[in-house]
Amino acid sequence: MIRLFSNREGDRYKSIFELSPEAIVILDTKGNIIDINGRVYDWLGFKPEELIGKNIKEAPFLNKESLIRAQENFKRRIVGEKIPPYELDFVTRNRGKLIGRVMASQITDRNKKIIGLIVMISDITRQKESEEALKENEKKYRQLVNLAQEGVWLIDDKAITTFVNPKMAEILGYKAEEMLGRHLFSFMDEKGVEICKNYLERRKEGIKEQHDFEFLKKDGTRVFALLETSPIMDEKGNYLGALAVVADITQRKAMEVRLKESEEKFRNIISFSPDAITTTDLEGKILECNQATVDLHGFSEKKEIIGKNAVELIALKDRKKAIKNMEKTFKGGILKNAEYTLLKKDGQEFPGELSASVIRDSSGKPILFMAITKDISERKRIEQAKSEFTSIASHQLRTPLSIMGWYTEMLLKGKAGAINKQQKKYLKEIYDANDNLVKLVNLLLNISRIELGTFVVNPSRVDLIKSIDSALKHLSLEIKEKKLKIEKKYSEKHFFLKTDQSIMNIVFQNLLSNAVRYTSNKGKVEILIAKKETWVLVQISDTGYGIPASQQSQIFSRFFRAENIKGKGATGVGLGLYIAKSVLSQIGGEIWFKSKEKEGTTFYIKIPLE
Amino acid sequence: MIKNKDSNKKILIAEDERAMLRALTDTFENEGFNVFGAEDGEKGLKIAFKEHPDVILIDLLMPKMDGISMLKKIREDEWGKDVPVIILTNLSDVDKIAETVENGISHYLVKTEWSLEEIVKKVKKLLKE
Repeated sequence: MIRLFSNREGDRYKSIFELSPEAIVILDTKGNIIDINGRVYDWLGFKPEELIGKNIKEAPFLNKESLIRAQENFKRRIVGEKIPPYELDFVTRNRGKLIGRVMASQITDRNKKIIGLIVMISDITRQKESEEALKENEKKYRQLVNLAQEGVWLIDDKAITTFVNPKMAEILGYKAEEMLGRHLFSFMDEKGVEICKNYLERRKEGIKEQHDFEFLKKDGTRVFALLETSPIMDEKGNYLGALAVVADITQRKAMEVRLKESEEKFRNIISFSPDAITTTDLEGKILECNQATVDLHGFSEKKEIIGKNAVELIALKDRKKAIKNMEKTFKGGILKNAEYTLLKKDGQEFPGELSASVIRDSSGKPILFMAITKDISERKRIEQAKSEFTSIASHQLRTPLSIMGWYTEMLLKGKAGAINKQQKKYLKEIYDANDNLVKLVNLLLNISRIELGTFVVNPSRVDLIKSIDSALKHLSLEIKEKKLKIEKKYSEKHFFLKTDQSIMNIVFQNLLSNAVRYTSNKGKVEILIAKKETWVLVQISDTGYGIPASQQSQIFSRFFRAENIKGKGATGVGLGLYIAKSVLSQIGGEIWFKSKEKEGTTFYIKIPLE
Repeated sequence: MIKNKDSNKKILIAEDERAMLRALTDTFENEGFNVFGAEDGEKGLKIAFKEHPDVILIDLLMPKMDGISMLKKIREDEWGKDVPVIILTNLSDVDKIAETVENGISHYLVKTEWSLEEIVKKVKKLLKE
C-alpha cells in the first residue's frame, strides 16, 4: 500500500474515510485502487482484498458501459479537468444493479503534484427509482388527462386558466392554447358570472362539490356541463387555484328534456283519457290511477283508490274470474275486453270492460299491470234494446204470417165449405208462398241476431240423428219427387251432444236442403256421422252440380249463389251457408267442404261434444 | 159436425190476437172440443180456475197478464199442477223459452212453424198421455 499521508494526517483521514456515509474509493494516478472504505463493502458486497490493487479498467463493480465511462472520466480528471458529478451504473457482488452518483477530486502532495483521485460514490438507486416512477406516473397522468373523455381545467388563485386538456378545449370549441391565460369568466354569460362568483368563493373556503353549469362556447352557443370541482391548497391552506373535471351533458340534458316532455305527454294522455287507466303491482295493488278511474267508481279523490287491491273494485261474483284473468294476463302478457260487474264506492254495480297488459322492466321481467276500464252500461243498454227489437220484430212479422197460414190451411181443408179443384190449387199457391215467407223471415231474424250479437246459445241434450231426421222429413216431398237416394252411415245409434238445438236445426236444414236442391234427379245424398275425441264429425255428400273451383272461396259469403245453379230452377237467396257457418262458430264448431263441378260436394261439420 | 171421443174435453185458449184465437177456436170446436177463449191472461186465469180445462194453450205475449205469469199462477194451484199446457209463441227468444221450461210447461211451439193440423195432433197426443 502506498502511503499518501503522514501518520497524523493519515489517522484523521482514516476516521473521516470510515465514517463517511458515502462509498469512497482511492485511486492512484494509474487508476489502481489503493483503498476503499467500509461503505463499499456495505454497498457493493466486495471486500477490500477483492478490490485493492485492481485497476479501474477491471473494476468488478462496473458493467461494460460504466467501465468505459469511468475510465474516460478518470483520464480527464487525473489531468486536472473538472468534471461535474455524474451518474454511473454499478454491479454488486451478487450481480444486483445499483445507481451511484460519482464525484471525484484530485489528491495532491505537498508540492501540489497529483498523486491520485478520491472518488466518492453516493447511492442514488432509490432516489433514481422514485424519480423514474414519478416520471412514469406523470407521463401516465398526462396521457390520461389528454385522452380523458372529460375536460380537465385548472385555474390559479385569480381564476386565470393555467391548464386545459384537449377535451376541455373541445367542449368549449377552442384550441387548448387559446384558453390558457384567460379568465374563467370569459367562458360564460353575465348570469353565469354571478353564479360562478359564488362557486369560486366556496372553492376559496376549501369546499369541493359537483354542480352543473352553462358555459358559452367560442361560437357563442351554450353548453351544459357537469363539473366536479375541487380547490387546490398549499400545505398552509392557502388557496392556489381550483381544478375541475368537466363533462359535456348538453345532449343528456336535451334528452332529459325530451324524456320529460314525452313523460309529460304520456301523463297528459293518461290523465285526460276518458277511459279509466290504472297501474297495479303484480298482486293487483293499485299504484296509480287517473281521474277517469276516480269518476268511474264514484270516488272523489285518487288517494281513496290508490293502495286498494283492484279486485275490490269488482263485484264479489266476478272476483274469482278476475283473479283467474290476472294469472292469465301474467302468463300471456295481455288481456282483452274482459267483462266484469264493477263496483262504485257506494256498492252500486255497473257493467264494465277491462283490458290489461303486463309492463316489463328493461330486462323483460314483469313489474306492473296496466289496466284500462270502461263503463259499458250504455253499450249493454243498446245491446238489450237491439235484442228486444229483434224479439218484437220477430213477433210482429210472424203473427200475420201465422194467421195467413192458418186461415189458408182451414180453407184448403174445406172447413169453411167445399172448394173446387181450381180454388184448391190457388189456395195451395198462397199457402206455399206464405210458407216460403216464414222461412225467409226466420232466416233474416237469425242473421240479424248474429250480426247484432244477440244470438243466444242455449245448450241442451241434443240427439244429432233426430235433428237430421227432422230436417230430412221437411225435405221428404222433394226427395221423393227427384227420386234421390239417401244413404246414412252412422258409427253409433245415437249421438248425444250438449249443444244448441236450434243451431243444429239451422245447420242441418240448410245443408240437407242444399244437397237435395242442388242434386239432379236420381242422385244420391250420403250422411256420415263419426264420433271423435271431443267432437262429432258429420259429412254430407251429394252427387250434385258441384261448386265451380273459381267460386269456392266465396260460398260462405252472404247472398252467394254459384253460377252453375242459376237458371236450374233452384230457388234460394244465398244465405244458407252463411248462416250455417255463423251459427256453428257460436258454439265453436267448424264447417268446410270439398267440391268438384258436375261430380258433387261434401260438407264437413265439426261439432264439439260440449 | 163430427163428434169424437174428445167431445167432452175442455180446452182453454188464451190468445190476444183475435184472428188467431178464432182460427184456433174454430179448429178445436171442429174437432169436438169444448173451447173456452180468453183475450188476456187475467181472463184466461179466471176461466182456468172456474172450468178446470183438460188442456190449456197460452200465448206468451198478452195484455194484463203475460203467458209466463199465467202459467206460474196455474202451477201454484193444486188443480193446475199437472194440467198439460202448451205455450204458443212467435218469439224465438230462447231466454223466454228457457224460463217457460223452468216453469213446468208441457210444450212450447212457434206458431209460424206449426200448422193447425199439427197443433191438434199435438194436443190430442198430450191428452192421451
